[in-house]
Amino acid sequence: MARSQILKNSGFLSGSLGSQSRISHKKARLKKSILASLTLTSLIDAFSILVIYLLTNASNAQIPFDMRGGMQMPQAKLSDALSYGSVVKVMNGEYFVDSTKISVPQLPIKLRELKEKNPTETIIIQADRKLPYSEMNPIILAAAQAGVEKFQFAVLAAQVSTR
Amino acid sequence: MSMTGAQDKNDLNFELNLLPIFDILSVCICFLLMTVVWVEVSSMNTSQSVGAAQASSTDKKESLTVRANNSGDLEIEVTNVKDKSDFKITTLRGEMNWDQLEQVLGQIHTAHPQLITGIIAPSEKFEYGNLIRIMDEFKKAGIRDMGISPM
Repeated sequence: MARSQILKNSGFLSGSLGSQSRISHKKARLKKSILASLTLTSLIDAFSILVIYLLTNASNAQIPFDMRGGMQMPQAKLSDALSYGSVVKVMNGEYFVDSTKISVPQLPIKLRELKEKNPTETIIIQADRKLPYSEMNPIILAAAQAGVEKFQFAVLAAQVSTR
Repeated sequence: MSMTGAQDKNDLNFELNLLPIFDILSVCICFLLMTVVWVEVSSMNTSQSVGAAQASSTDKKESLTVRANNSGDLEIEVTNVKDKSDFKITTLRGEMNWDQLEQVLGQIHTAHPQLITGIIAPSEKFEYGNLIRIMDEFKKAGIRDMGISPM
């Protein structure tokens, strides 16, 4: 209240209409007033555009992926949207299901538990792009043993080049 | 000096106080900047056959099988079609020959537009990144149902 009164009295942040309607003998002060109000209006415009841009980008919820340890996921041009599921990660020969370290013999048991909890369970496989297939194979076998049919390989969406 | 009393009431020119709007927008921007996800993670979906019943149901379906060996050579086989065809793609200067793969898959798609099932059988040292790239090429050639053969 006090701040707005001070601003009103000083005429510093008054709008262009208000400034023009005021009867003032000091031209310099009028110019300053118009300039200040225009700056604030354009700032609000810019901020609004930023908010809209960020809101549209933040609209789709993402599954948090642990990318520590220099993991580089492969890129794909024609990838699908990621849906929710249990994340199975392979890193340095170790296997993690939803961030919990699991040994290879325990992998089918854990996946079967998940499948029993949710019959439509899909698993999301996260691995480095240089990973040899022999390290991926235990997950495929464990999923087959647990009866999990659907896999999602987590990839980074690559830009499609227009050749 | 500002106008006061009766003069203020009679004044038809009014303006919105922009400062609260400015404050709200600033808070919104800070919140959204802190919560925004910059790296877009998506997925390549596959569906595996589980059990003998499903395997037998896909026996008669036209399918494409890509066998990838450790060095990156690919053997492509089209099965359950009238004219069974095989292709072999060898590496080019130690790199995988993606252009030829794209070309071959394009030819197969033109010859068999109904073919939508593809199976990849990688060898033990075949890189995961290349596996995803093959799946990407499959999608480009209209092969939507993809599966991976375990070792």
